Amino acid sequence: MNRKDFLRGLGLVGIGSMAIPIISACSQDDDSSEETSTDTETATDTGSGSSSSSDCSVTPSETAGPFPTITPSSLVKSNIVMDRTGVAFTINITIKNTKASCAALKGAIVDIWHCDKDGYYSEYGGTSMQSVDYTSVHFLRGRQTTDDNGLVTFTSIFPGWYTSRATHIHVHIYNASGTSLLVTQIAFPEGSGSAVALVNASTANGYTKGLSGYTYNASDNVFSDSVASELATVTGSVAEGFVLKHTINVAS
Amino acid sequence: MKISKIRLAYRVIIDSSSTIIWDKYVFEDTFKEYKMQSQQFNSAENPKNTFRELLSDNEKASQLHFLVGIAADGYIQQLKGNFYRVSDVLGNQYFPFTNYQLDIINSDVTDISKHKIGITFYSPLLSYFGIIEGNFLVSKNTESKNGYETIMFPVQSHLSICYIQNE
Repeated sequence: MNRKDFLRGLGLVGIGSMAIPIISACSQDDDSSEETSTDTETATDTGSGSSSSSDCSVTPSETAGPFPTITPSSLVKSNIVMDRTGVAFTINITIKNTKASCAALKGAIVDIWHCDKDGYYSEYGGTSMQSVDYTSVHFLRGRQTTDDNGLVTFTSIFPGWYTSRATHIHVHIYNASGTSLLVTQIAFPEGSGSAVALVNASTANGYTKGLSGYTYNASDNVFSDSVASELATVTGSVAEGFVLKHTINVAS
Repeated sequence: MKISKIRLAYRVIIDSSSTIIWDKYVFEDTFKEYKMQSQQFNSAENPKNTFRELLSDNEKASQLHFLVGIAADGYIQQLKGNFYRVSDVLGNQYFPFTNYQLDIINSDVTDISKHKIGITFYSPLLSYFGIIEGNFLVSKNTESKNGYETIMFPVQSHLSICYIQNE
């Protein structure tokens, strides 16, 4: 059934042009000002509906859809694991504002993304479309808004690594209106007994690369000059999972 | 009878002239996402307003096709695997899809009316029996057996065979 038939079924065909404003008025959309021009007009064709009909048969059923509803971006989620496996990992990032004596910045939008245990990011993989379900490969990417304490929390899995880079998490911070404040990366403590060493030795959790060929922070071309202020605190164990805490200062 | 297996692809174009509500939502949300995500590929010294300028300046901006596509994902999930705008000859079955890919045709952070995207929907693997009376004759049944329930999709612009697998 097309839209026009559906509207006719409702006795609305004479005001079909109002269908869009009516539906958007039901939504959460901020941009619904377009409806105001039509909502005082009186319908000239009020239809010949069955509201007062003496017919006592059951009204025919009609399909309920498909009608779209406003949906936030799939990025907006706290648990970013999706189909990935690995050692449990909680990421706590606090955003502070250098223009307010480094007070917590509330309402900032924080995007993060990192690779999976094998060092792969979610992206459309080339042009072959035989077996990969592209619609579900948004893993290990998320967006949250900072709370009163400037904090965002993500549930994830401990990232692996790939050639020429130390373990890291990408972060993009925006102000509440979406203007970019900072694009940066979070570095991890390394060396014996560190989370990076323990996790990458955990073949039972699927981390099969070990650290042979790993690029340490001192050799990493992103972190080598600035690792002190980009290094997170990472606590926990392989069995219990790890928790990352890090503070990022922005000028907002 | 030799029966190939194919995938069909249908690409819809969405821009400021789109009137369908679903398209308008996708248009607005992908533009917002473009404005946010494009900033990380732009330079502070010499910022580019349009996607095509940005892409020629910084080839990493090609990631924006994927990143902006995430903003459309929720709307595509609402379709539950059927693209209703493409119906079969009978008019009661719709283009089935299992994958999609969004591409940015162009955009301009200063002018939403320049924002234009394509979304290509990919069908599951289908048995293909040829073109009959201007229609792709296909079946969702890809298991070899004697009979097939078939569907006929009219040959039309933006509808293409995008993959062929020999039997």
